[in-house]
Amino acid sequence: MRKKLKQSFIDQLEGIVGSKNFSTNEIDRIVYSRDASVAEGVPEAVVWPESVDEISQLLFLANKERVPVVPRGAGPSLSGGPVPLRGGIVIDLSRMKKIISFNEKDLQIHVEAGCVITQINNFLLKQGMFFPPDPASQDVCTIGGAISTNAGGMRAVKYGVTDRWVQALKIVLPTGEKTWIGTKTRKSVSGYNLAKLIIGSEGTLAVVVEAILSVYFVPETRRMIKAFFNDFESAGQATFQIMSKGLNPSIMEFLDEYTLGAISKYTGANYCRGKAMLLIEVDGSRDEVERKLPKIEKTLKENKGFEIEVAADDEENLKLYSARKAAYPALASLSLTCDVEDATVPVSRLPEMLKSIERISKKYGVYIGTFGHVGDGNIHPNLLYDERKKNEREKVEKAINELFETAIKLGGTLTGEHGIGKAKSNFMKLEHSPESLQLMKSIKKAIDPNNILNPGKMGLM
Amino acid sequence: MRFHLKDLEEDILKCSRCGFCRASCPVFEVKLNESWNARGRILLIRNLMEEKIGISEEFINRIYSCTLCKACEVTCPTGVKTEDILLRTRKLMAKENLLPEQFREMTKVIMETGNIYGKRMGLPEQLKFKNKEDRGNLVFIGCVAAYGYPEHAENFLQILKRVKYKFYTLEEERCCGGIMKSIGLEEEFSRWVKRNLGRIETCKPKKIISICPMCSHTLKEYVNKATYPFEVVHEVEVLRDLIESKKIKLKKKLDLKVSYFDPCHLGRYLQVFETPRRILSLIPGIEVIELGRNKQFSRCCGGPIRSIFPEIRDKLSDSIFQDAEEKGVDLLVTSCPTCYHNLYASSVSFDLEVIDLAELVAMSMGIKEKT
Repeated sequence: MRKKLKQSFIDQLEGIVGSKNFSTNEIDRIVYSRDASVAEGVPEAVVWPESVDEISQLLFLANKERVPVVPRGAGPSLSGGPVPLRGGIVIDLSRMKKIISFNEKDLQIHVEAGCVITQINNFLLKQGMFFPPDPASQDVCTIGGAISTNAGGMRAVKYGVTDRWVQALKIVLPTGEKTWIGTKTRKSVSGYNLAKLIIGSEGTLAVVVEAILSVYFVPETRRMIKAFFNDFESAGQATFQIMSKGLNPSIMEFLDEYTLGAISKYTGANYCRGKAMLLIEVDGSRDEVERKLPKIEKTLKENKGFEIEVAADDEENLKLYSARKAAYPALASLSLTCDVEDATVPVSRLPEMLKSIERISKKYGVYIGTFGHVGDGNIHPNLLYDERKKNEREKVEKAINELFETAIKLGGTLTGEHGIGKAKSNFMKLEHSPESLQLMKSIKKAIDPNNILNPGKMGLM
Repeated sequence: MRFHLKDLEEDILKCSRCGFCRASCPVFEVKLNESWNARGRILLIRNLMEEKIGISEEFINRIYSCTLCKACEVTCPTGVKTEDILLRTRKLMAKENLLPEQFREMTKVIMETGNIYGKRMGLPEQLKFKNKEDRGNLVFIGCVAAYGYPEHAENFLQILKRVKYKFYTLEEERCCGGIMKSIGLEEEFSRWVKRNLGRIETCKPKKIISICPMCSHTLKEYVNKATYPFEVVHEVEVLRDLIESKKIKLKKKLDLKVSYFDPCHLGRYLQVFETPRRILSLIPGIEVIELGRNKQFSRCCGGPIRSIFPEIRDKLSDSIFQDAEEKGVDLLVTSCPTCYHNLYASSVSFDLEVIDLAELVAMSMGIKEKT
């Protein structure tokens, strides 16, 4: 058991960031003990650094004293990633939120880690550009957090997840050294791809403090299409065909019957038809969109889609987009607690996964509403229960275990975009071989020999 | 346990801790510390409920630093009623006298003098209009407009007079009591409302037109209308009706670019967003440019916490001005005397002024000169 922080250490910490950026007050510590998962851990101190140098000094000191350090962005995470399980210091990067520069010739933007994705996009939209990754939390999540979890979102089906848009990262290592990794060029095979190693490492290897991101032109137009299906196979088949025909949708979402019922109740619009709905968006030039729309419609029809409807204008686009965005609030309104999972399978195995979810729901008597990014095979089963009731918690736990096991059996992964954190730590063995896990542990050991950065996460150490 | 926080359990547990309130909480925008946003405050109340923490000065600060602007409720995906949770928590805390001294003092002052300014004041002569008939239109001026900004009230009353709209005012304006409700002094609030209602009852209004949005909300939501049912509207709703029915003639062209700042009580509380914009659109020469944060997403001027956190209030008002300045407008318009007060305090640091909406109407009618 680690000893409590020494007063001399606390004084030095305060000296580094200044008293207004530092707190050991119980009130400030308690609010950093949670994220949106069930994980809990109270830090001994919270700091809000304003510069890279402060973070560097802080890590040097923490490493010397073997004090755990947990970097944190906005903390909307569903995995327990930024929860300080072993106490120590939480570094909240929210106050480092400067947009440093925009390079319109290379289509790159240089930002501090505490910038919120929507803040970056508000800046870029004025230049006709955008940063494509769109996690549901984009209005609050920091770019540092998105990088550390390799966040995705609805439009990842066309634009990919965060790593596709990261050129270079400024990081601080657990020992306090600062360095840039990655490249500003569009191509590079120079050495190990260190940026890719850090992306998605959930703050266990380094603290991301700045990033140079690629950005892209806002598409000329966007159009949405919806279709209902009477069975999962048809919806899955339609998804698979749209993806494999190279129609490259920018959104490809699935909503099951239970979720549609919840949305209908929540919004007042009636979406209760059949077993499932697919919601598809295509974007690009007007010509391109007009060319793709009939092909998508045809594919939907061929796969027994019904009530197929193409949004006529921006207002109808927004209506359909809003219905999808209402999925989580609508499901959450049905129970006290709503756990969102993100098991991901190959697109071709989706019907099996969806049927398994139904079976698991019945087996454990747990309501599960499923929606998600079906074009990526990344679905979100939402498990509804009352966290105050022990028997319900136990049933949900068993259901989640079986969801993970099923996804892995189908050749999938534990998490498509939420991350491992604490919540899925114990399941890493299901997905990764002992050799692969050992390799991860060796990397962690090489970079963070004293295990001070975000310890207890990702099943590492 | 001293507090019966168990009653709040279900509401507290509805918070999924997603942190989406970070995008909207204006106080958090200033502090950038989790303990100053809705998620943080609810987590603190939860920890108190679970007896993991006790009540400290810092706890009281966080609970009372919320302006109750309801912006967090707009972005909350699980529908957490933060304003209600905080009101109920404050009610329990106030019972134990665990509220900031400034608020206790403010309540004492209101009880003694009838208004938030702390001295007994007669209603300025220009605001006195006698009641000549039963079931008429009472203009409830409220203490901020009556004693702090009588010229705003006068503009509105002069407009009504010009178009021969029948109305009357009370002989003395008193605080509506909304502030007591917001700080958790429920018993004092109930007593105060009864006293105010008594005064209103004696003149049996059919309609109450309030100048201050907080008064509108208080009179609408918390005053028992069983004896003499009356309708409550805000002045902008009356102005809009009079303009649309052509009783008010907007003749003068003003040639101004303006942004409208939505007061929390008029906007998020009473859902009156379009009415002031409609009025502005009907004034010749006015071009409305929306603030970056507007309507449901509007910031708060910081008024409710100005006595305990003046530095936060300053930053909140400054950020509204910064937003307006970036839009390149000539004026910032609002329709709440309290918002006006807070924004006016910030206006000295910007090359931009704040104006009450009724004044713009009066200017376009030719009642008031353009300054």
